[in-house]
Amino acid sequence: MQSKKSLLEIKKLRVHFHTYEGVVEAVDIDDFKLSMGEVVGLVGESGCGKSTTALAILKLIPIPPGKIENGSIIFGGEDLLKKDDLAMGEIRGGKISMIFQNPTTSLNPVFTCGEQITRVIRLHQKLGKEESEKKAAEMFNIVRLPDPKRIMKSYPHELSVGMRQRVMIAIALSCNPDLLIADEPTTALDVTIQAQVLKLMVELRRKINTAILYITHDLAVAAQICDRIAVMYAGSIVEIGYAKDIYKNPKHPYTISLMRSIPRREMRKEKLLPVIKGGVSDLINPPAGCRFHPRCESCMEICKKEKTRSLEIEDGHLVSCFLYSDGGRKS
Amino acid sequence: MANEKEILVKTEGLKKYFAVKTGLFSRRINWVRAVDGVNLSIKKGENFGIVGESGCGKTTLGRTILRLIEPTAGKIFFDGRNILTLNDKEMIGLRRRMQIVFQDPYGSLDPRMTIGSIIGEPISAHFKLNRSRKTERIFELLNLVGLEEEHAKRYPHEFSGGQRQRIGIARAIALNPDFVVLDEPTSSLDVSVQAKILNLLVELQRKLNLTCLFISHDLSLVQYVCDRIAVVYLGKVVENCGVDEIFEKPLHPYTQALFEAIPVPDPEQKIGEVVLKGVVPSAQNPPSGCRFHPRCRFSKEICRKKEPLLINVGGEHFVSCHKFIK
Repeated sequence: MQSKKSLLEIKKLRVHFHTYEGVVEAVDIDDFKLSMGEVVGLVGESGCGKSTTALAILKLIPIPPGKIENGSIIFGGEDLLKKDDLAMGEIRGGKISMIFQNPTTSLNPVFTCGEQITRVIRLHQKLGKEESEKKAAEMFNIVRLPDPKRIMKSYPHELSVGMRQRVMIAIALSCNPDLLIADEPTTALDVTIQAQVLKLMVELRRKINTAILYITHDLAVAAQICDRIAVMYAGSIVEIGYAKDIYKNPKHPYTISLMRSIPRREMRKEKLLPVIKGGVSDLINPPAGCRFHPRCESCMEICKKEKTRSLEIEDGHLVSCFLYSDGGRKS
Repeated sequence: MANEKEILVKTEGLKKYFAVKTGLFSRRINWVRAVDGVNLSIKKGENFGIVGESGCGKTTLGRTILRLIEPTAGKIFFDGRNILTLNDKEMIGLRRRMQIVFQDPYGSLDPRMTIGSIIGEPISAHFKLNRSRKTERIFELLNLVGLEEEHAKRYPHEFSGGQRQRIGIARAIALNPDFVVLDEPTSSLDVSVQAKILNLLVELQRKLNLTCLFISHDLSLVQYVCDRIAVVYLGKVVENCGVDEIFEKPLHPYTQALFEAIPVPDPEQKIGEVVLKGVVPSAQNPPSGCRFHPRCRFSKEICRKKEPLLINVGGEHFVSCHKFIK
């Protein structure tokens, strides 16, 4: 994968929110790369900064209270953080598009689905009315919506949740984006509908070859679609690697305990699930050193003092943990 | 069938239809058949799971069993007594023994009450305790669910989702009930918080000898906590048996399709090819015959015409499908 052309590169990104209670250090990502046509999962619990990272890429963070303190987000050779609103407007929905968690609130209830998709197509591809309608119907066909003509004239409330999410996907993909950010696209859906949408996304990525940044808290969903997985904790990426390595051979203590806490039938006899002690640390005054150290089973003295750096322990498998700091490559 | 004595809760032909009204004079135009003839029996000390897609009637079923919603027809036996024949006063006495934990820990706690008064309310409604005894009991409950005594003075907005769900559980067990309905107790929580709540429930169940009814769409949770499972589709039970059997050998085509759709946290095990097509039909006009036939891959002529009965295929494994009716 390393040989493939890099599409997105996040370097030393710090996003802070200035609130009355103090500065929330929401995102602190040192290095993150995404290649063309690759699907990377951003996994973590609520409040760990997954969605903020996605919003930072699109420069959609509300400023104030938010502030991007420093860092760079290189997309297609250009730094997005240096672009002005006008230039960003062309990128959003065009080269980078996003699917949100709840299709019910992300579609506009007063416009028909047809109007919502053709607007995006006309804006970014400079097509006429008829051509854009044709393109829209084609997109609805690709996402397997039955009877595209009827859907064009339907308002979002006339469709089921699964269909609305398909409309969202159609809108997001209508301009052939290079990068699609999917923020928990199946969380609001039922298992069976989720399976349909997941299947569709797997199929589409083969067809359209769009890179996807897939944000989810559900490790099982991430396993279905992602080539690589990045695990986030308290604003930082603690482990990143190929899906196979992350699931079969997790290295960071947080990833290990997260994997263990998924209930499985085999564990019924043991009766109690292994848990991570304590709660997610406060991001206003994050713990010094490694942010996971107060909850870590294998915490050492150094973890309390020094910040971790990510180390490559296998090909493409990076871990930020002092357990692997000396001779980590061997493990 | 198991010995009648062991059974704590039993329903017979339980139905709940909601009227759909419209127009100036609210004429009834149709029924939503949320629960349509459910027979279940839950044994003492058991964890019983009800699974199904949204809109299949799981929540209505759970609330109807507690008589929080008055059923349209059928019988509900609690400890051998038909609770539908009881009057309000007798019902209040029985409420002490059956409690519920709601799905949404944000909506189910009154934002203007302190945690102490939320947990204390059922106690003062059912028992006459003096203030110090009541406070003692509240502290005891808080400790039991892993919260601190000082939390009693705080308000719900000061707590996280996981803590709120602990408060909801403390309120449900305040009266030492025999039977607790847990309506999607962890659906709004993160995996690591969910694990803690599940551990708490398992522990409480052992300590207090509870019988639990889990309502959930999360099959990984159900297979971990439950002893027996009923799969519900459009208000009807389509399959009902022990948890190991249902996961290893699901018989009903709907159960099979549902299980195939569950993603596994393993990149080498992708979800099955045969994904259930379409959506759940409306409960207002359920399909004729077997309700699953329009989405079923084995659908035959008979499925369209005749409704299959729930039959025992051996070893307390019940399934309602024409494939198994000889």
